[in-house]
Amino acid sequence: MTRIAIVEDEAAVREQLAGYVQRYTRQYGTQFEVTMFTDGVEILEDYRPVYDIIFLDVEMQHLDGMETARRIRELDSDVLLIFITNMAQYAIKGYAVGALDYVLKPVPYFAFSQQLQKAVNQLAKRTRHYLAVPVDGGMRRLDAATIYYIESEGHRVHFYTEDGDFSAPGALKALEEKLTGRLFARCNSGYLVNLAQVSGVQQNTVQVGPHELQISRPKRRAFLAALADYIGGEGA
Amino acid sequence: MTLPDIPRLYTALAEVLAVLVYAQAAPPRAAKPVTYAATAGWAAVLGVFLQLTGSVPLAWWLPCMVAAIAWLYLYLWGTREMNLLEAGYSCARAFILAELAASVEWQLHCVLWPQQRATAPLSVLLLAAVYTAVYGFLYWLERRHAAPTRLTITAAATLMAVVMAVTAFAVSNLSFISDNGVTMSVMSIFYIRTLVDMAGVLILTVQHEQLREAALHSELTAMDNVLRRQYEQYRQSKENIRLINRRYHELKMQIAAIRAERDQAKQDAALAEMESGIRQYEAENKTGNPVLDTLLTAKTLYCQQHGINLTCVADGTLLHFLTTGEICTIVGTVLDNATESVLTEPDPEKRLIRAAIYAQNGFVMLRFENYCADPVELGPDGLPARSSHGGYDLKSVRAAAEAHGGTLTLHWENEWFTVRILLPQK
Repeated sequence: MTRIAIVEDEAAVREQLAGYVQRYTRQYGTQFEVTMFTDGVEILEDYRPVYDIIFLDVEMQHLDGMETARRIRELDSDVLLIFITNMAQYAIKGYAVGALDYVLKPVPYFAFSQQLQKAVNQLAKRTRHYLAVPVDGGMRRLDAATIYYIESEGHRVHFYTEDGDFSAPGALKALEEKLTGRLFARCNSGYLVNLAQVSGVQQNTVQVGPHELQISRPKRRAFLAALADYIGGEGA
Repeated sequence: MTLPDIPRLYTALAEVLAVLVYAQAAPPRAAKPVTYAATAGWAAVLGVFLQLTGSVPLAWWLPCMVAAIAWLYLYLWGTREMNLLEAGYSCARAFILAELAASVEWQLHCVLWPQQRATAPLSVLLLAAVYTAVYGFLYWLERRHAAPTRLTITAAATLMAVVMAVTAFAVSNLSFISDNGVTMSVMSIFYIRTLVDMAGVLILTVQHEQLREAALHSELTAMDNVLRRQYEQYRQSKENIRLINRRYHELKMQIAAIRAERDQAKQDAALAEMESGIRQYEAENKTGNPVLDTLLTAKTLYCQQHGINLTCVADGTLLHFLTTGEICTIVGTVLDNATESVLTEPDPEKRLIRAAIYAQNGFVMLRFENYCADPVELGPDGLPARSSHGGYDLKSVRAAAEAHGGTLTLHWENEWFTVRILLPQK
């Protein structure tokens, strides 16, 4: 069940959006739980990070959408924010609160449904992924998000993670197949890099967490393309 | 003294190698194993054919030669992604190169040890050395000077190559036929043959180089045009915005006039009319980058006029390291493509474009999405196969991104076409 909050001071628009969500459910079968708020102050009162998606009107009487978004972000870094506005100029600053999408008033159903679909797809991508890695005396459950990179060492692979480094038997290729679509890419034949941990690319090197790794010429283009799709896919 | 002529298997090997050198101009049609198998089979057939027809009477010699050349042509056309002209062009080049290599090798053989049989170890060693040198050099030359894009081989270029090859072949071989119709081989004739073949290869190589440079030049011109067009548009929109500002000023005067109006009903009507008028101009963007603001404002106005819903979240301050031309190229071109694409959508509700420019993980991401019900087919270079999404223009966008150590990717998924441009943040 995906939880949606709608923060909008005009009752008519609130009703319209709630109707759109129902229509979306009829069309695609995705179930939502919708909570309505009439002002930014209302949602921030006793705010708990329980929502997946918040539709936020930019122009509201007591607390405007931008300020509401800023305060929500302080409490909840994960929720997807989508502005509703009749003044595109304000929404253009949405990047400051990680809101890269908005819908223009009057809201047509199609544009709304496309925005909702994108958000739903983005949520689906977020599920955590764990690797079962054989180590001395058993298996280790490793959260893929904590990995910096994996290095191939003959018949073993070496993991560099936020929680320390260790090695395990296995092949890089097998891991690569397991992590496909999990946004890992090779910067050269020996390193499989977690794209989420990349913080910079120079001509021949890539900064991955605290590590600086070489990018090989033949892999450079594909690696950058994977990075572009990762950064441009997640969106803030 | 009459010398033995080139062994047919030597010729066969020369032709196989020459064809392979020029075949790399185009990717194979089939998967690797299939191509390898086809190549092996084809080479074997060529060797057997040339060996069997080695001692046919003179009248049959020419038809056999033509059949062998046709076999080279068939291979190039059949296994590589070449059209008929490209295959003809490559075939002519390969044939004359093979003639040269075989001629040089055999001449050296006749100078050094004319008594040695063709299968003797020394002869084979010489064969290996000469062919490695000749084909190694040509292979290197082709590789190093590989054209950035596929060359367009015109009918004229093919004709030129074929005429050149035929002429060189005729001149080099006719001298073997003496007055009484008997073939004879002497050293001086070998010299002539090598020289003529050398001239042929040289001319065709120079011609190829010219074709390549012409292709490079036309590509540069095309990119330049894209840049100029976007820049012109930018200047145009600057002018538009100036006009709009003047219109704002006029509106202010109107307001003053309405204030002075005493009749309440008339005043309300005039206000309502003015309000709807203003809506049209509500397109000003303030992103923190004046060039981006101008571009976005112009595109927003265009979109409003054409019923396109363009939404944009952009941190323009991230783009300060790009020149005006680069911003025009990247943002302008991609948005032009997007508007062009959504305009083909009959339902105005579905004419949606989203743009986002933001920073993440030390990178600047420029993302442009547009609704597009029909799948967009991408070519092997990752750019659209058809031009509806600006395959050519996107090339200049990619070049601009790569100049800053970044990249460009395109995808079509769930009825949305997405362009992502990644640039290292500066």
